[in-house]
Order: sequence, then C-alpha cells, then structure tokens
Amino acid sequence: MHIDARQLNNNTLIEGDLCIIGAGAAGISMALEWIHTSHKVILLEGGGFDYDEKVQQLYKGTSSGQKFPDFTSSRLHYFGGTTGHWAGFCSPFDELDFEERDWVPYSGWPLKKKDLDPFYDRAHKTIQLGPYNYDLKFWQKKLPYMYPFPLNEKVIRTKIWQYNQARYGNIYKETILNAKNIHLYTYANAVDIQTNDNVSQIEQVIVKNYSGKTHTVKAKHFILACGAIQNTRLLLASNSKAKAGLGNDNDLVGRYFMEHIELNVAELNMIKPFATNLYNFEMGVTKVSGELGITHEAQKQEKILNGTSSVNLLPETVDNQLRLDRWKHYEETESYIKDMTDLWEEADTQAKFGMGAIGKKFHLNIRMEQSPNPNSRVSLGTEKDGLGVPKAHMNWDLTFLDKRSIRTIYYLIGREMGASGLGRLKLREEFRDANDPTFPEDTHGGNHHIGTTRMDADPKKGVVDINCQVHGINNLYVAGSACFPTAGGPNPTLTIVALSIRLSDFIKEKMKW
Amino acid sequence: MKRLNFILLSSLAAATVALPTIWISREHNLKFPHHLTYIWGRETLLWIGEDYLRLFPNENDADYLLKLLLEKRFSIDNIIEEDYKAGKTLVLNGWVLSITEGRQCALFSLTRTY
Repeated sequence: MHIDARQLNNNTLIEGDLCIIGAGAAGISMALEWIHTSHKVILLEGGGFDYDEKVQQLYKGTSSGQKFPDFTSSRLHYFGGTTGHWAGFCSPFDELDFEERDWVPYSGWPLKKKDLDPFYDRAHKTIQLGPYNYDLKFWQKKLPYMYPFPLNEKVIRTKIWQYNQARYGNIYKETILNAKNIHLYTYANAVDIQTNDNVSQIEQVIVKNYSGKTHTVKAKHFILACGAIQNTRLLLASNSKAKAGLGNDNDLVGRYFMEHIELNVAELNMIKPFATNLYNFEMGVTKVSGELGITHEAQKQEKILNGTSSVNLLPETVDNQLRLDRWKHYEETESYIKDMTDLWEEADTQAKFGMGAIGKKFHLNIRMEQSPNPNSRVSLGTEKDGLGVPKAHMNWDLTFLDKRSIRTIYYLIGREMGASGLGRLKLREEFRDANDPTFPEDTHGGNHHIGTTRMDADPKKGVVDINCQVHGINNLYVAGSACFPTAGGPNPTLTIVALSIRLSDFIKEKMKW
Repeated sequence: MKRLNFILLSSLAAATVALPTIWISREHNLKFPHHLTYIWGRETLLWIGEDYLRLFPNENDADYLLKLLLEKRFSIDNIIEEDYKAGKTLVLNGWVLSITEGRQCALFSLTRTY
C-alpha cells in the first residue's frame, strides 16, 4: 500500500505496529520479512519513486579531514535508496572480521560468523544472488577457466565475490505496494524522534516534506534504516529530551565512521602469460569472480587489516609478442642489448595495429576495511537543511594502520608474484615509503558508510546491543552498516541485509513476549 | 689406451672446455637481469639499478657486485626465487624486487657501455 505524504491533510496521525524509517537495502529487506504477518508496518521514505533533486539535497553536508565526497553523490534519496546505483558486490565477512584482533584497536563483534550464516543464506534470496557458497572449488566446477594465480597459499588467498545489481526500487516496488500490511509513505522525511521523559521509549516520530506538511507516526517499535550518516543526524538532532541526542549518553553516536578504502595502489607486469577468467569483472555481466586477498594467518603475522585487491587488465599493454619472438632467436651477446631500443620501437609500432598479445599489465586496486577510529566521526554541522534539521558534518580520519596495511598487502602480493616467477609488482609512489602515514589526494571510499552506531554488549562501548537495539531505549533499533563494529574486508550490503533480517526475527520474537 | 682411461681423459678434456664456457655464460647471465627485460625497457633497468646504488652506496663497485652475485653456486633463477621466498626483497623505483635482481640491475647500470 502506498501513500504520498504530501497528499495527506496536515498533522495526520499515522499509526502502526512497526515503523521503519528509510526504504533502502536495510529498510526494504526488513519490510519484506513482515509481509503476510498480522502486523501493520509503516515504511517511511523521504523521497518518491524517482530521483528528486530537491529531496536529494537534504543529504547535503560538510566535511573535514581526509577529502570526503559530497554526501549527495554517494547516497540516493528515493525508494530503493542507494541500491539505485550500487555495483552489486556481495561477499560474506570472513571469520576474522568478527574477531577481536589485538593489532586493530576497537575490533571484535559480539557475534561470530556462524551466528550470521543462516541470515546470509536468507539475504542471498533477498538480493537474488546465486547459492550461498563462496568456495573457489565450488565455482570452478560451475564456471570455466576460474584459475587463480599459482601463488603461495599460505600468504595469498582468493576471495570470491558474487554480483547482482539488485535495484530494490524496481524489483520490490510492486511487492511492497501490493502488500496489504505494508504502508509505504513517500515524501515522509523523519525530522525528530520523540521519547518519553526518561528517554527509555520512543513515543512518536515527526515527518515533514517540502509541501509544508507535518505528520506524526506512532508505533510500538521504530527502526532507523537511513544509512550511517543520516541515522546519526537524526539521533543527534532528536535532542528535546536527551540533550546530547538519542543513544548518545556515552558520546558514541557518530563516532567510528568507517569506509572501505579504495584506490589504485600498484601495477602488475606479467613475465609469463596466464590465462584465466577468475579476476574478470564486467558490470551487469559477471556473476562470480575473484580477487587477491591475504590469508588470515598472514594478516595476523603482519598485523594488518583485511582487504582484497582487484586485478584489472590494462588494455594498452598487449604489445610484447614481437619483442618476445625476436629475443627468442637472438644471439645472446652484449651487442643485442644495443638493439633493444629499436626492438621496442618496432613492437610499439606493431602494437598500434593491434598485433601481439602476450605481455600483460594489470592495475591493482585496493578494497580494504578502515580501522575503527573514534576520531573518524559524523556530527551535526551549523547549517540546517530545507526541513530545518541540522546538516551532517563528516570528519573522515584515516590512520597509519590503514596506510601500512595497504602497503603491506601489496608488498606481500609483489613478493609472492616474484617467488612464483609470474610477474613483478610496482607500488604507486605514495606507497613506497613504509613510514609515510599520509594518503594520496585521490583516496576515496567505496561509498560504504559504516559505523556511527556501533554494536557492543557494553553501553559504554557501543550504541546498539547485540540485537541492534539502542542501549537504554527499548523500542528503538538500527538496521544497516551503522551497527558494524568493524567494516570487514568485503563490501557491506550482504551483511546489511543479513543483519536486517536477523533484526526482524528478533522484533517478531519480542512482540510475542 | 684402455677404454676406461680414454673415457676419463675425454671427459676431462670436455670439462676443461665446457667449464669456462659455463662460467662465462653464468657471469653473463648474472650481469644482465635477463627475465626482467620481458617486462621492462633498458631505461627502467637503469633506474632500478641506480636506485639500488643510492640505497646501498657501499656496493657501488662492479667487481664487488659481481663477487656478491657469484657467491652462491645455484642458477640465477633459483637464487632469485630463494630471495623472494626468504623475504630478501626491497622496493626499487617502486618495484618489489629481490636483492639479487637489484644487484643485477645495479651491475648493469655500472657496466653499460653506451
């Protein structure tokens, strides 16, 4: 069922059992779990079904620290949320991602991977992925030419990805609209969460839109599913009873903001040709592929963060056939060195005509968790958005551990490439000095907003508990990557959906109490 | 001449001819990072060699470098492989290389004739 909140009479009271604030991957995944139940679910979306620039601008914020992209470019403010432009990378977190690592401050989840496995399996169905299996051998039986580089398996592993650019706004629109107990309100921007006097219970949420309408939503349970930045903004701005904001008694809301650090770090030149499909990725075509990862043992030994490297072919480098052919028959004397320049020039000329295909060059991009850091933080800015809510301010703060880990990952890959005789790796200039803590100007994230309401059993260390319920407020929950204590090696969406399904199960059980 | 003596003398004669040839060939291979030329041009090899000498100025001597390279009696490919496996690697001009490869490039940069 769909209601456009702009068309309602001003000051309408909306009531339900469950109120989900935000209709992106987390919010819709949760709502789907409630279809055909006896519970009335209010699903609030700030935008409509299509991109609306004015609504999108409500995400506008400011930033300091490491250069951070405009918030409006990384999130989509309409039904389906950021699934409207995601690349569909899915992989479960590794067991190590959940563990406390003594070399990673603030690491460790109160969950283990096995706790999430059943929900990962269910999330696969929601995202419409293949079977919940990320074992290379499994996929080698299903797909041709999935050969990994023959590198030392004690150091280098293959991380398998599955892909589906599931656009929730398309694939679940009809399902949600046809569900009698799901009441989707578009153009319903939550601007204030109001509690009882002792801030132990949410009583209502105020929603607004650009049509000048203000409505009130009452429910038994409220779930924040607006993304790590907007969740923070709403919690901190809802300060009529709790001056520091909701869930923020211990000054934790907004802290530990994390991204997956992504940038080009190295190039790989192959000495020997190596034919494989394993590392290929073509958006919208590839369903499964692999990336180079560091084994957990090697991560422990080197005390580095978890991440993987893509292996992307540089198309301009198929120019070596001629050179190789000539050398093969050339007399090996000092004099042949003198002719090298001529040979390369000839090879380059031939390459312009597309001849030759042996030499391969790849560029390697990192995709790595950012270490949890309380100074990497979302707070409220001084300006207000078009609906009167303070804008978010981001201080993206990377650490030396982040930098050292990236460099070490590529150093290890380079070392193993050399040991295998397969190729040689070149580090980008900014990653050559092992003691340099700075990041290049073009450092960016994967637009994965993680942390800000981290999960911990101890209210002094986390905003939400093991069930994603905000500590101290018994009917307020957070769905999404804001709850992650660490960013994990892989992209977050599969884990976001798994945790959202898990949260749904928890609230259903709680409703029976 | 008895058959056994003939065989022994023939082998000795062959070895007398072959060993210096093998030695010269090995020295030649050591002097030049042959397999690296499959991916790089002469200039890159020189840059790498110069970077090595910048990091290790005490090795800035062709004879000394050759002596270091000849220390081990394995084939150069094996020495390089062992370097990588033992973590005897370093970053030269951005490239993650074995120490032996660095020395080869350094020697190349010192002995170039043009």
